[in-house]
Amino acid sequence: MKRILIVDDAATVRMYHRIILEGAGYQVLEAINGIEAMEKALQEPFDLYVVDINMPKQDGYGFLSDLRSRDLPQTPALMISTEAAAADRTRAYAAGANLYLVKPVKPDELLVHCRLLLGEVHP
Amino acid sequence: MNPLLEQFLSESRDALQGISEKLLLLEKNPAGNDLMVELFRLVHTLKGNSGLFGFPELTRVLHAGEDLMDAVRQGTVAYSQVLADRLLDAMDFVGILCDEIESQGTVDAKHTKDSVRLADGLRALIDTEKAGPETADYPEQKGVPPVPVDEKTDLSLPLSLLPEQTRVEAYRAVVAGKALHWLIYSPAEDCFFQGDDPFYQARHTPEILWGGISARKPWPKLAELDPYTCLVDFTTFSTAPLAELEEYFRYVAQQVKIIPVAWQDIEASADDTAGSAPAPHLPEVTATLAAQRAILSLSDDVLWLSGRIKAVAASLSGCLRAIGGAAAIPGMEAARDAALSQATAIPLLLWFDSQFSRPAEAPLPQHHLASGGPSPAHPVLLQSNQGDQAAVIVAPPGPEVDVKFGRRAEDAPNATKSIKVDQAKIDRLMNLIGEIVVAKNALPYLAGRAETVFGVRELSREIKVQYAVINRIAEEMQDSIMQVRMMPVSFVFQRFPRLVRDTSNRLGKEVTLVLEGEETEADKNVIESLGDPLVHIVRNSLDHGIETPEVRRALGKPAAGTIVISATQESDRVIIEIRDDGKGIDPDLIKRKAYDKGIIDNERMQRITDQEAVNLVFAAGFSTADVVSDLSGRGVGMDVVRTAVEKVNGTITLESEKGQGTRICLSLPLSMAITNVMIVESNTQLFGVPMESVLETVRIARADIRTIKKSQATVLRGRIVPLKSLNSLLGMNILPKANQEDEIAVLIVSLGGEAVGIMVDDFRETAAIILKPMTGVLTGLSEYAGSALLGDGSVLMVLNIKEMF
Repeated sequence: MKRILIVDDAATVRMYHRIILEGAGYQVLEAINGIEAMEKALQEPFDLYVVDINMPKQDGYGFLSDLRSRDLPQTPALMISTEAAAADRTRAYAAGANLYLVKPVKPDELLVHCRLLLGEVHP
Repeated sequence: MNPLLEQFLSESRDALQGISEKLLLLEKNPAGNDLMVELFRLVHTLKGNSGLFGFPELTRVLHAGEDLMDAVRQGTVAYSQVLADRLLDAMDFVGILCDEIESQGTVDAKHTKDSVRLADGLRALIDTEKAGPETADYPEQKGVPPVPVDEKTDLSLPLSLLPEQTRVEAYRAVVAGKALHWLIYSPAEDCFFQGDDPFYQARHTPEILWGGISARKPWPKLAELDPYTCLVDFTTFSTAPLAELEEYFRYVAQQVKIIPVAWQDIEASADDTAGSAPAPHLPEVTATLAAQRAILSLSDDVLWLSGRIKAVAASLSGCLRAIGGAAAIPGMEAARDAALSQATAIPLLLWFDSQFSRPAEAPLPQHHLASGGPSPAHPVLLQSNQGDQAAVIVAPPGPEVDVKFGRRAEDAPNATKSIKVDQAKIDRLMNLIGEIVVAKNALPYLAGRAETVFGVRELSREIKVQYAVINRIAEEMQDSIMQVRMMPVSFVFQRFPRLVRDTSNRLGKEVTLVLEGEETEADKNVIESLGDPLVHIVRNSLDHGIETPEVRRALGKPAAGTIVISATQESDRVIIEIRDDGKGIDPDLIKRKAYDKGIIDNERMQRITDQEAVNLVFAAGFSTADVVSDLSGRGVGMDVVRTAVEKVNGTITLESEKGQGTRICLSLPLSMAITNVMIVESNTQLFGVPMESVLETVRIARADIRTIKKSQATVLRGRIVPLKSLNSLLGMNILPKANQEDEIAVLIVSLGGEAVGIMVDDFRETAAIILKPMTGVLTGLSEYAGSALLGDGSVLMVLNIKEMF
């Protein structure tokens, strides 16, 4: 089973994403900030990361650039934010995201992108 | 309710509480940068969450709040009292909406006006420098790429931008005989001054299928941007008939182009998307691929370049497999390895462009970020001018942006590790454990029967051993569940900063609130029952206790009054103390009032101490409307407070010194779920007496009981203790039984601080019981606090000592 880590400080958003992804048969774990996410990634790397930007302790940018700097399997990361500006998108890419979606992400939108990044059959 | 919505409401309430706390802290320390960052984050989270549900009223207000806090955080808007007031108002509104969503599942349409007003109020505070025209920030429009509109040739509409879903809907509309129209709405630059709301206008295009927003021309620098100038164009795609569209846009007819679209054009544009192999079909595939190219085009100058290249390769590999292009993976991996060994993304970028036909305009990166951002090239499917159009909006990540996000990492580390549990579940657990505690009491009874009735002593002993084990587990369990139910008093205290601030502002008084011992814990029910009495007391203190600054100065007091609310734990009680340094209560005034009201007689009025006098404010019937107006001191509804406190087995006392202030002390049990009672026998019936009122049990020789003025009393260790028979208190004319030594069992109880003896027939054991309040017609029997079930299944009536005398 593919493992996905949801990193978001908002419990509602985590639950929302969990419902969508678990419903699609993924194993979903959660972290509430970048630090916790890294702890989990170090224990066992994930196949995909779904990361929020603005979080306490360590934000999504910090987490992704840390992740990308480490000697870990480099799997795709999807960044989700409320900011639609192109500058934010660029910043996300620069930090290590592979895709940038703007909240609120519709269930289908999230699933299609996750399946794509995970290399699963054309939806 | 749907669990996601439940989670949302619970998280929202926490966030609202946090916001109001932080705002109040900020009021004291307006330069608190960390506070602002934390505030922004809370509002941001709330707004983000609200976007998941379709509550536009909620999102609108929160969005405005977020923008405002963002401006405050960046220092473009200064913190002010007005700002705090408006934000607090807005959050109150959000709280109301949350309540409504919880109770009705929807938001009433009547709130729309308020939400617009509040959002406008918040936005009005945003410095013109920060404000921008409200653009693509509503869910429906998010993530829609800017629509390049070729205004000269109507034929080359960017129909390929339409998502698959929209195409399907358009097809259905055509089949149903409807027309398709492409609308380009270019509002006049000064439209905001003409009362237009172009965004609203565009969004409400009749039968809208799809919409997009794009910049009319390259954005000016932020500093030069005039937020009152509309610089955006709206594109919508509708299935409404031409006449209806014309009617809808009749006031801005000059600014709207309505272009009929034939289904064939849409079909053709869909065919365009079938590009070179491997053929991506979905816009998602294109977007994902384009993102990888954009990432590869970024500056190589980062520490994590190899991680980035590997991650892009992993994403590309995923995409290729997903779209049936797995054959291309080895080539991609070779390019990746070359990129890794050369420490530059270029080999992979070259592979990408060879694999997916690169738009002619998308150049290889040369200066990367320094040249003003990458051009997000859209391989294969998007029209070639797309790259340019999009690049227009890409602002170079200048220093402003860096500052903005640089601070986010400093967000306060506030997360706690805890789970939220529905209170109903805990209550259920509590009831169940209560039943176990009672049910286990049947075992000793059973053991007794085994021995006396059936004569099996062995079995009786075994049952007792088993009972000891179950008893221990049950007690530990009970203890643990009690712990779960414990809440810090801060839960109640947290509302006071706001209350004191608002009330004192309104009254024109200056008040400093000091909270102490907020971490003191007590049972949830106790904590919750505390809320209303405390509010009442604090309000009274603000209203009548604390003087106005002028008066205080004249009296030589500091202009700002102080209210201290403190909580401490004393053995199994929580003591809450509320004291102020206001004008206190005049005991003479209280005495006169009490006399006028007939609460005390003349004799008592002469004899009563000042301390006793001020406590008369708790007497029922003391506070009536005319007292409020006459007596500009305390006393308003204090009997209500006392009743509420006594309901949870608490006591309340008041001390006041005229001119110096008032001190009110509440003493509450830590928990009220399990009551310990002493069981006594009287007239062959068993009664329970709550342990907290029992001082001691004594046996008094009948000869030592004297009759003084028709009342009975005895001398216990040199003190006179009045005696009453339980039978007579309960209206039974039967004398208490004496034992063989001619002694009477007397339960000494504490009644309002005095010791009183209750004569009973005999004492029994003490027991932990779950007290069930009297229901139905029995509620009128105030002599009883309630009933409880004993282990042998019989009912124990528990006495309410306070009400019996």
